[in-house]
Amino acid sequence: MLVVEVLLYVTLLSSLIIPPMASLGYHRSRSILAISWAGVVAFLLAAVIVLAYGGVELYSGLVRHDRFTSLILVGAGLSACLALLAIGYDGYRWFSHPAFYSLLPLTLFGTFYLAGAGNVLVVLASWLLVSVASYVLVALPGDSDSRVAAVKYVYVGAVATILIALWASIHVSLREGGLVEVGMLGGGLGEPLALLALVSALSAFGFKVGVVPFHWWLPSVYGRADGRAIAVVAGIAKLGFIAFIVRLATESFTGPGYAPTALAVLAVLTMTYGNVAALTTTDLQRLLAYSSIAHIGYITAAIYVLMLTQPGSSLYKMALAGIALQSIAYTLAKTPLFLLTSEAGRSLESELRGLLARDRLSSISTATLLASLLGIPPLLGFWGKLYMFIPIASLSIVVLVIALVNSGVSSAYYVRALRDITTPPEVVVREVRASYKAALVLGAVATAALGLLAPLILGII
Amino acid sequence: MEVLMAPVLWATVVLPTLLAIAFQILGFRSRQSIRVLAYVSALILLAPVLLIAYYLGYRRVGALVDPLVLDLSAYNIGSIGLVLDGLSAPIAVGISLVTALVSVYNVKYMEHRIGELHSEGVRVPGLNAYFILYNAFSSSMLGMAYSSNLVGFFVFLELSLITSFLLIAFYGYGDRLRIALMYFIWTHVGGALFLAGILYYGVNVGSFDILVVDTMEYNRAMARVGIEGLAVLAPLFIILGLLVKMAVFGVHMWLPYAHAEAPTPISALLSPNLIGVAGYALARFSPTMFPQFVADIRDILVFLAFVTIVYGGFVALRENDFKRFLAYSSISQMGYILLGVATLTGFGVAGAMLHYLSHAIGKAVLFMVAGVFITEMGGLRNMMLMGGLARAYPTIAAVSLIGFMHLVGMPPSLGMWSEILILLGIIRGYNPGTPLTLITIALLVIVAFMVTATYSFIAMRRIFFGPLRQGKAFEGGEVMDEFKVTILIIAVSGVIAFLAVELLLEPLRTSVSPLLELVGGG
Amino acid sequence: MVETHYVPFLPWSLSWLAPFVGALIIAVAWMLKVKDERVYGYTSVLSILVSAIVSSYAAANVLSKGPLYAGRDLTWVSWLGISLGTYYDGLSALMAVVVSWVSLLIAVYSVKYMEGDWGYGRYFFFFTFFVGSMMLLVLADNLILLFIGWEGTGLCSYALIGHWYTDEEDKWVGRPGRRVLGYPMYFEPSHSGVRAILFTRIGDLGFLVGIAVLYMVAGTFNIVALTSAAPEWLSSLASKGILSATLLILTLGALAKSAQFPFHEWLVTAMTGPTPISALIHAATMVKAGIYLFLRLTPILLAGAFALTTTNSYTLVSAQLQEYFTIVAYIGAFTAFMLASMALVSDELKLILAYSTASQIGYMFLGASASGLLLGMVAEGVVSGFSHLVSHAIFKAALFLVAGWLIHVAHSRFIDPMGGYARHMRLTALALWLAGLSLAGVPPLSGFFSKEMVIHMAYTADPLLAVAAVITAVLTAAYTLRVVVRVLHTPPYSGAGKSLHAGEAPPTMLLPYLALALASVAIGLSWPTISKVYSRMSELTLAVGSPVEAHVELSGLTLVTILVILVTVVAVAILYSILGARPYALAQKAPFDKLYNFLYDRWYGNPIIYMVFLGGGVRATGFLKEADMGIDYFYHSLTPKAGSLGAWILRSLHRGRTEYYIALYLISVAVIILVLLLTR
Repeated sequence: MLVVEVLLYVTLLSSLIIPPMASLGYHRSRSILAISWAGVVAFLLAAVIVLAYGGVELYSGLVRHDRFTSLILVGAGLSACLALLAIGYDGYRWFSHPAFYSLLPLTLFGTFYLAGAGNVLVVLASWLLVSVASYVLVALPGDSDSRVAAVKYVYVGAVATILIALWASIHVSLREGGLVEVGMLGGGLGEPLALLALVSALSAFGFKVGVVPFHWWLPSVYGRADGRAIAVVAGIAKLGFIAFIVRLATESFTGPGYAPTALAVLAVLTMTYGNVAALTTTDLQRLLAYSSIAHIGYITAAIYVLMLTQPGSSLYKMALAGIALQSIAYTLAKTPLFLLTSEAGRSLESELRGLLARDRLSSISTATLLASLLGIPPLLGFWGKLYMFIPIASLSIVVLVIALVNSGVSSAYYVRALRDITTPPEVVVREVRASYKAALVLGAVATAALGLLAPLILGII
Repeated sequence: MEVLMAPVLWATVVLPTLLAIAFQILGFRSRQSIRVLAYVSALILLAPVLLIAYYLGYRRVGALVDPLVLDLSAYNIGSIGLVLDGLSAPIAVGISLVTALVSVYNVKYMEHRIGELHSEGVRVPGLNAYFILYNAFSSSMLGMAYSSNLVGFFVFLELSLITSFLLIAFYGYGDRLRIALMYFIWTHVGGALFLAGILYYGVNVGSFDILVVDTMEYNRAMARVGIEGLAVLAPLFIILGLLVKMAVFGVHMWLPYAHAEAPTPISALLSPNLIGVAGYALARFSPTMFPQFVADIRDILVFLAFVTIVYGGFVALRENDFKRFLAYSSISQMGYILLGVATLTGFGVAGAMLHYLSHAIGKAVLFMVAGVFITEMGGLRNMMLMGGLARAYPTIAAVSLIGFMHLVGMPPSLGMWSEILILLGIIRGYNPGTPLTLITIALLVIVAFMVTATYSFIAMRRIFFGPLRQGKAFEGGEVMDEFKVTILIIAVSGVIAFLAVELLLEPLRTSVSPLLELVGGG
Repeated sequence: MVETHYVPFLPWSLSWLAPFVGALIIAVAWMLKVKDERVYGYTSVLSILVSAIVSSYAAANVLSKGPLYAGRDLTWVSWLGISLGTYYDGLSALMAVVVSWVSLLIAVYSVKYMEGDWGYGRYFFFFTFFVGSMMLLVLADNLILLFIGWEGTGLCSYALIGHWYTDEEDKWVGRPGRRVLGYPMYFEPSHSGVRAILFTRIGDLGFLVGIAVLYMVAGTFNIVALTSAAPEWLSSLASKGILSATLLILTLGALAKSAQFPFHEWLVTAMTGPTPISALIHAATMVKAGIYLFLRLTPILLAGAFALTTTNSYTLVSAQLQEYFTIVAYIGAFTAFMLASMALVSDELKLILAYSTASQIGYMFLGASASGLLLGMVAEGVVSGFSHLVSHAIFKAALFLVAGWLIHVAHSRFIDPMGGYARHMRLTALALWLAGLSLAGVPPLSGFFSKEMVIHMAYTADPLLAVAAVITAVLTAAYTLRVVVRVLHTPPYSGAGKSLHAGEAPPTMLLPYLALALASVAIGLSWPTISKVYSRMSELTLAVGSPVEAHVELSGLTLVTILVILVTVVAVAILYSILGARPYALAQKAPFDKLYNFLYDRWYGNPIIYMVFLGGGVRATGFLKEADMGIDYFYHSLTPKAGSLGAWILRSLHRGRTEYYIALYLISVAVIILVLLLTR
């Protein structure tokens, strides 16, 4: 698939070309944004082509994409467009100015390989690429909150990187014949080493996306750093890790045993933790941070199903579709919302209060996105949850009920946020600028449109 | 059973909302165009009544099926489609009748309410946006009644929730945002339990279609996943979820707030229509999907139903706010529907479904009457300040009496038939064999039904009779504008339904009997 | 058995349909705010006239040819097998005639009486609907249709008792301010309306439960079908031991409607309605519904039992039936006595008549249930109950209509300001005398014959019941004469001036009650002919089918009764009019004041009922209201607090430094590895 490769190189190129340009004195030039756009659009195109072809194998199998991963890539590409659209020239004001425009395509580039990695080395490389990009992104805005957050992120992240390296080495050593393809490990999971591989992969993944109990850093980073950076880190970069763990779960850790049970327990803990912790917060960004944890909980529960379900069966496909749709719904909602908190403020009691009264379009879009996160039909978030929960139902009614009750409890904070948006304002606050508004509206429109299509596109996986 | 293809069901669900959106986009916002919108929406919403009366009632077609079906059977979801049969006919009639007439009623009431909010300095979406939400709310309830698939049912349920939530949050009274929140959260918790049950059930049985239950597949699934999951836990969650939605005793906490503080036209829809649908769902699902389980917990449900009737009625007697009074009365009325369904007999289930309709008519009338006082008497809601209003509002007093008669079950109101059928259901279901059981049943029935009669007639007296307390300002004679004529029409339809009950009862009979074969009723 | 004739729905059903159509026209006129009173009054009178003519024609046909059955095939609700059938047999046809004609006279009276009333249209709507409901009740061929009529009368009585719902004091009943045990003994119209509908509804629900049980056993609501299936369902119910319970629950309806103890309270406060309504409720409709149902039911039960005589279940059935009839008979006798004793001391004209109604209906129950006690003499039982019903309908309607005029003249509902009216209105006085003597049971008025039959039946069944009946008869004579003499012949006790304007009523009011009073005489005088009609009626009645055996001989009991009644009548008349006795003075003194108050306050029945039900209800609602607040607190205060606490705990885990996060992270990994290793 030459086209895809070429498009990806365009993405890479766009990210690589920006730093030299800036150092040559073009850092005020409008073309930096344009180049970044080119990289993002190229990625989106590549993702759509992969999706349309139903999958692709690159570099003789080192990178494998199927419909599931390509759906995830499309989601990441769409959100990246939203982020770039909203931020526009805002990044020009940042201290290390061109970095954002370069790192966004780079993150996407890494995500492509991470999501499709069929080889341990590719995993390691792309993991590091995406991680490092994320660390820098968090630090970029340069305010003290962002810097503190970045330090925490990097510091804890170092441990996670060690763990993924540990996984990689065990994986390589346990594969018969020392093959580096991601696949079944020799000796089964009963081996202490295999178990160690499982836990290290899981905890590294858990660190990245916020699975309890590996999530410790997440609320303070997502909740404190600049929303524009978090929009990319939490909204976009996460998707690659989700795709990775799905591949691992289905190809490496399959089969019954304690692994699925462990995953189920973690899933239940994660969703409950996220939802309960989010209950009383009046800070939208914190709320989004905790709700990210809750969403990863649902996704983890679906991954648990994948491990126990016959590949190729309709329930298996439905779970995959659920994870994909949920990821897209998640990214399409989280990205604009994190952007909103950086733009209009994060306090639901003061800055965001009364959004409806001063900006109807933004508030309706915000409401739509929150509703999608909550899972209100016919928005995309509903179908994601539904397709994940149906297969869960086939396995364990306990996990199902906990997940659904969690979903019911989560209505408390989502709806409270909605309420605050519609409450009459008390103070005059910042306006939402047109570019951020556009991101919100497009995100909401996409969520609604994909939601209406979702029942029809179930069949493509 | 003869089935007729009717490519209009989706249209009745989708058209009203599309129409309102079109009006919004095209910018038709004058008073005149809003009235046009209200009347046209009403006509579309009223279509199911005519369809049912003609095809199901008169032509005795077994069911109307919309040919537009979303086939997801490859994914074990079944086909999401719309069907109208005898069991859902009273539900659809109730929703259609009330939403259509309230649609016209809206114009004056919401003009008043929005004006009131504006004068308080609150900016809310205008009448046109209101109609989008209103029509979406109305048709999502119709969708629930039509749904042939659990997933479809749930989607419509959620839609009705979110739209009604917004309507309360924007246009409600009192601490409307807090109340809207409360409403949303609790019904969502109920919804989550319900969804948990149906997902577990549907996945294991292999289909979410309600109308056809594959007994073989059911038994196979039972053998596969075990009794406790499929035949105990799943039904338990489904029933718990539905009971929260119905607001029976113990989980009724959200209802008095939501139904009392919603804008009155919405109260008129919420109270009888939305919560009653949960009763319909119970009747639709339980005998076919988990016959053994409901048969096992029948006594508990019946007891719960009696407690709900008496409890709701007694607390209603203590309420001084007219709308809160009506809200508690709705809780009590849900007890009747639960009672009918829980008897698991043809008579009982048919009676419960008819009671849905008669409660829809009666409670809609009463809420609309409350709305008349709110708009025309300076927001009067306190029953302590009412009294003697029949002098100022003779026709309103008359329709209120008809409304209360629907709740009490007095002829010539449809309520009589539902009361008789529910009673027959109890007697058949429990088949008293000793004087003690007979006397117990009689006592329970008399106490329960008397509570309803008591609060109805006492409220009638408190509101309409006795000396006029609110000055002489209202003795100019009531003006029967379209606002009040709609109430009259609903009340008269109740009397017509009483006379033409055969049109609903025969379809009910045909669809109820196969439903109950599994539980040995019929 | 005489052959039943099937006839078309129309015109034979007009007897009940016509008033409904009239009511509908009135309702539409009312909605259109028609001002002209004549529209309402004439529509009502005309529609009831149609009903009266059709039912008379039908009755004539029934008496000559046999039962008529209209609209049997006109299915209304096929699931329950309910048709819009009109069934004329001896009992229902004659009942329909009495109801329609008495109602017609009252309607004519009302046209004038209600002139200028602000609720004129509403009055005639409910009046006409009332008559239609009663006719439907009488002629219904199935129990559901009967129940619809039954509820219709309840609804209309509610509306009409509370007709003057603005509750001015002159429309009250009872002495304003009088309280017993803390509960008021005076009632506003709107209050009385609620009482009426709630008290009777208790019975209605019992009735409904009863017919539901019957339906489950017999599979039909149709009265004719129930009759033929009676042996089966009787034995089926009896074998479960629930026959008497079922029947008693079913009869609750009849007892409540007919204001028998302990349901009599609603009737006495029903006096707040316009006086013609009192006449309608007491004479022709409503309270007669209960006893009519009982008369309808008794022969069915007994005929069913007879059919079982040769079978094993007869003992069971007959024992349970006797149990049932004994209870009803004693309730009837007790009510008759209790209410008569109250009437002795009451000082409100309409209230005295009201007490008397409940008391007289007690007689009717007694007469009919006596045959049940005997498990025989069915025709006699039915005829004694029915003939007293007819006599009572006529004289009580007359009495109430007269009372309406007298109250109008005196501007007071109490009898103390009344007096000496005989001089000013001779014809009214005549009507009052005739109707009063008929009530007192003085021969040869109709009341004498019918009461005599009841006492005779009671004596045959159980001498104790007969004693109660005779004592009640004496009380009846006493209170009736007290009223007649005090109102017509003695000077008023208070407020004398007002009676000076007294004169005869306008002709359209005078004629109805005069006609009724004269009818009372006519029936009495032509008793040999009338009794033949009754005999023929019983022959044509469903499940009776045999004529009454003639009881022409004057038994000792009869002579004694006549004697005591006459003595009472004469004694009371002399006592009041010639000796000018004032028992009030006596009633002030101990120990009579206790007795006086006990009777005046209706044996404290009302306060006791209020204390138990109202007081208990208020306490229960208070308790539940508190409980509701508790539930609300749990959900809306405790639950959110628990959630907040949880959120606070979880969030406070994140207040750390970076090293702390790393430590937590590593510990988590270690713990998980450990757990997995151990649980492997």
